[in-house]
Amino acid sequence: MPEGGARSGLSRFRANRLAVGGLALVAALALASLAGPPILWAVTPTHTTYQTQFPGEELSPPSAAHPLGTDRLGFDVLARLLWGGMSSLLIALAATAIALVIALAVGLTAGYAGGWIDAALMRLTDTFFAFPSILLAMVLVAAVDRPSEGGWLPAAGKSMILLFVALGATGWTGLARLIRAQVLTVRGAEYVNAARALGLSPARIALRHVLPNCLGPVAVAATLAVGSNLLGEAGLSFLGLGVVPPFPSWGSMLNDSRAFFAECPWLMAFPGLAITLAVLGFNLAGDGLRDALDPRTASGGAR
Amino acid sequence: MKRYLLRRAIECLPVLALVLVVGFALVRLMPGDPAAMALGEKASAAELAAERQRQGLDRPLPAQFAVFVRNLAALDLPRSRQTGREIPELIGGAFLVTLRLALGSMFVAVALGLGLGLVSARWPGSWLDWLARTAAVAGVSVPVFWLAMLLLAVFAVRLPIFPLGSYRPGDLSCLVLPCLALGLVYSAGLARVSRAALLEELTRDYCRTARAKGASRWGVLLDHALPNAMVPMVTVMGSQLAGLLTGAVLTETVFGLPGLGQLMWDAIQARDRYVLILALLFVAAIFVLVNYAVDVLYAWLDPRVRYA
Repeated sequence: MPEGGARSGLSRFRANRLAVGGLALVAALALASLAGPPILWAVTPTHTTYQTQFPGEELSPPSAAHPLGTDRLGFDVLARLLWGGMSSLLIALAATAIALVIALAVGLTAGYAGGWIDAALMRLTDTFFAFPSILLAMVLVAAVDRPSEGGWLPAAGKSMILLFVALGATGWTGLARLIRAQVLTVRGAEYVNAARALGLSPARIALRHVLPNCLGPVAVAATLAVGSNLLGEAGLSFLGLGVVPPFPSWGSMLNDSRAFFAECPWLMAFPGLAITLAVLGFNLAGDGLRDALDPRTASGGAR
Repeated sequence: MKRYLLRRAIECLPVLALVLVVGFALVRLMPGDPAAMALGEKASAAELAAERQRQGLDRPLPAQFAVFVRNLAALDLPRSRQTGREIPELIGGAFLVTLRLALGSMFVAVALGLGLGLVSARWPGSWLDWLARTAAVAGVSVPVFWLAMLLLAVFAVRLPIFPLGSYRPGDLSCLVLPCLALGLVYSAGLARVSRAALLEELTRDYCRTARAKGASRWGVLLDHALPNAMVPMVTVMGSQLAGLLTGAVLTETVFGLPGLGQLMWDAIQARDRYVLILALLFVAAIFVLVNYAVDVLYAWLDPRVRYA
């Protein structure tokens, strides 16, 4: 097998059937969540939105008319699952983006600047690391009053922003440590010394020369972080701190199903399955990415 | 070793101090005027001002922070708004429940995770390995509260083996399903790490030497690879503790266990801000201490760490 290079990395990723499967899973769920609602709308006009109720059909088990059954208020579970996927995936991606920005700022600065700046930033990271991320996010979300209607954004939108900001603002510590560690390994490299000798500014060296060479492991960690943010969103929503109803998310659908988990198992089965599959997809893709970037682990993970 | 212990202990201090600052900031950030909350809605403006002065809310923030820390150190805290009980007593009682849950889950996670890792490393590439790895990657992806609901639906409703809801102190049977749910999820991560660490050790020269000298495959795995693979595993166990505590919160709400998570959730519902934040500070302090313990363990397992 040829060693090194981007091409062999790509081919290693493609050869990893699990990783490709994970990516396909993520793509399929994202596509279903984005394209699903309009398609449902076109095919069956009665399923228009996540709020279309079917009076008299509350809590009905899966059938031809409602492939995944209906819930307590007569909402079609499939329609809500697709709309809920949109909110869950959006929140997880946005939270990861925020965490990545904070982590890059902290990790790059700490690793590249070194000295007391490094020490101070790392103690700050340790502090946030000491608060279990979801617990801190839970307190942050609870500290703010529940979003209400009014203003230019509906309450559901406000609660989504609150969720991904809280998840992002509390979930960056692991990424920051990883980025700092990567920067430390690259910092002493000859091409960095050369850039310094050429008189480039520290910011330019950090962003143009150090950062690109740290991206591999960071991309892996960020992919895995999307999965854990999905779980975080689901957890907060499950505690009733999620997207404001009636807008669905997978976690809040599970929360709604709690009262009926014995009598109406379809209510909890499908949202839970959707979360698991989405997280699984991101985890498989992340693992595949890691193996593709680092052939050493691929040999350990031989199929 | 002593110097290392001391250095790491000193490094913990600024973190603990910053944790206090975050706790104080959260108390201040919470919506609602504490003076109005203490007196109720009918208080007059003069009474409110007096109460604000009594609580020290009219003083500059650093002074307020100093009072906050002093009160915390002296355990001079307001009672819980919701239950009227002393907060340390509430947190202590809840912690014992969460601790039982966390230890039980850790036991399940280590037993299962290490078992799966050993099986995978003994027969890498086999169908058993494939099964163990699939179970592990699926386990990492399952929301713990969903697994908890599934377990309840099957083992408490369909097959009424375990009690449904209502925690009774002393009755361990109501802890079996929660520990199983949380332990299953955390065994998955451990299985992945132990497999990777064991396989890595098996490629080392000392393992090959042991094989060449006639040790059996299991012998090499258990006597030679396993002790060295413990180092990364302990690190992962330590870093999983945060997840375990978070998972415990979610698990507790499903099973109605009166642990720290349930306490925090109730406090959120009742806007019982001191209970909420002190519980959070308590969790953070525990976490700093456990991380310290893990580092110490790490240094004891791997002497090279001490001089890094």
